[in-house]
Amino acid sequence: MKMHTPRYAQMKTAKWGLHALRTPLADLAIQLANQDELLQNGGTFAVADHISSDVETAHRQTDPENAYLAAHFEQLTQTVQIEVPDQVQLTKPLLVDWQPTTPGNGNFHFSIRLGKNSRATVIITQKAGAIGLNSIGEIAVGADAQLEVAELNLFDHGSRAYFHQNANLDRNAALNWSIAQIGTGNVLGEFNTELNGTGASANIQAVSLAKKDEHIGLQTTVGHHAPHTTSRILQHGALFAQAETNLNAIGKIDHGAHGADAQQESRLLLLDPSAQGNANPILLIDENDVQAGHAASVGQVDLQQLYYLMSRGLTKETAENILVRSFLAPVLSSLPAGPIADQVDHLLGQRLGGIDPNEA
Amino acid sequence: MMTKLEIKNLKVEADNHPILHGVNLTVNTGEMHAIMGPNGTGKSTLAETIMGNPHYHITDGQILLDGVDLATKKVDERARAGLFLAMQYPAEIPGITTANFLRAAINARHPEQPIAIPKFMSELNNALDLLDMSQKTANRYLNAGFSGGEKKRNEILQLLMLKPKFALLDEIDSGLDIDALKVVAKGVNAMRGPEFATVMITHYQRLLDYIVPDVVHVMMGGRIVKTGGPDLAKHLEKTGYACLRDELGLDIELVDE
Repeated sequence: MKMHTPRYAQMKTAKWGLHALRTPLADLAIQLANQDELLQNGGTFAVADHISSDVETAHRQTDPENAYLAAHFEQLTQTVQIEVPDQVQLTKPLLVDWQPTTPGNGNFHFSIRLGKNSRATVIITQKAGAIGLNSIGEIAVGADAQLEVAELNLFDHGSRAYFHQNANLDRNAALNWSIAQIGTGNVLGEFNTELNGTGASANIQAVSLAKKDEHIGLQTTVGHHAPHTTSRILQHGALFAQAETNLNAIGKIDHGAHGADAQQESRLLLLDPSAQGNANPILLIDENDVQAGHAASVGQVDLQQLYYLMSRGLTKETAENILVRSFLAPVLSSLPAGPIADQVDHLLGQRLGGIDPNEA
Repeated sequence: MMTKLEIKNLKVEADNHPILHGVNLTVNTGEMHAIMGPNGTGKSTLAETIMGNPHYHITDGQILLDGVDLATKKVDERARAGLFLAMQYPAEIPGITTANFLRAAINARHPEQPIAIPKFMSELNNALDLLDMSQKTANRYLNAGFSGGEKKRNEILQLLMLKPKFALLDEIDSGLDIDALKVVAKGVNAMRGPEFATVMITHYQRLLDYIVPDVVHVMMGGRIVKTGGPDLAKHLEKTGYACLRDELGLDIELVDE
């Protein structure tokens, strides 16, 4: 089998320079918190040293020629396993926090399995420090279960990060998945959701910020394989200087998935003329009785808004800072309320510079 | 100390179209000025040009603040120097609350010494009370989804909080019912004092019943054609702009004629 870098529509993924993923493995520090409630209910929340071969095979089959994915599974040493039994409703979010502690490639893996009619929130924070990293995971949401997943990705400049995460949803399952790419470095990733059961629904939102010469490429896909499945993809990215960001949103509706509703919106805000952005909406529909909609835009700061803010004495930098937040607000407001939303807000302020209106 | 804003022979164009043909105007702090005039005569252009809207280009003349030419100064520098423009169509900025925005704008004036939060909150609450605005307004996103009247009040809220030396009010009365007009006037009148001046732009005399000016100017065809006291506005209300034009023997076409 000929292996290759991930193939995404309209993206030359080799440009991301993810060869760093072949460097020796880094040691990982993985911290789990709020596990008591789950353990008391007979669940699992632990760092394991292997994953089942079924899970690995299923994941690899989603992209068998993907060199990065293959490297991840070949090098895999640790995985975070979260299993929530049927009929368990957790009140506190499960927290996963990890970071590489030695130079090299951080090879992180997680599996989240939510039983029937259960409810949980998982918050994953991936901290700075890596030369390169893989973050690969599987999510399975059982019938009538509701899962919220938020991922906050923070990397130092020069990092190379690769994501390949797959979610599968049963009948009437609901997934609310938020991905915040506001660290530094190059990020390439795909987030795939398969709506396998009737009535399953997914909301996926991604927010990104790219500065200097950073590259961000995200491909978010939802497959509608059953009737009355609904999805919404919402991706907003802001980019400065010579940064480049590509956002792909793909909605697939199978024949027979009648009553499906696939909506997507990808928007990019370019703060500098040398920044490059591409928002690429794709709908592949093989059924008549469906609803689908897409919106995509690549634009610059509204000069009228900029003038208004500056007319109150704010510097251009601070005014732009406010307009970036304004642009990202629809996605930020979809994040689970609480510490993660505050943390994202704080980091945005740090990365944007100038007077931070939310902390001034 | 008195501060002086001088407009000397100001000629301005936008989109290669000349609009102002030599405006002269001097405003000192402590004075309330009104500029009246028919539609399309350059009143808003004058206000926007003084503020520094990059859409308008000065082809001749000067804007001096205590003798310092503002021509090369950007809009934010002019604001920090003491100018304020209450806009006819304020922009909507979802994602930042009015309160946070105001704090950032105040701190932009002295970044080395940010305003203490209790002081800010007490000033904000006083200003909200004066303008019959609810606390909630300050926590809503800046102008986002505001009605026309709410936006105008929010402009005056910003005026009260930012305390400029010169406030240009561009048709602050348009779209307001009589109650809202009184509230807005109360806000502007609260600013009156030796350290503050305003230039109100309006079509109608009605605003000037509530904010009584010291000086009234009439603009037509991109120039100030007559200057007088508050009686000039009352006279105009009776006779209309066309009549004044004919009185002055001006060869100007009024757009709404």
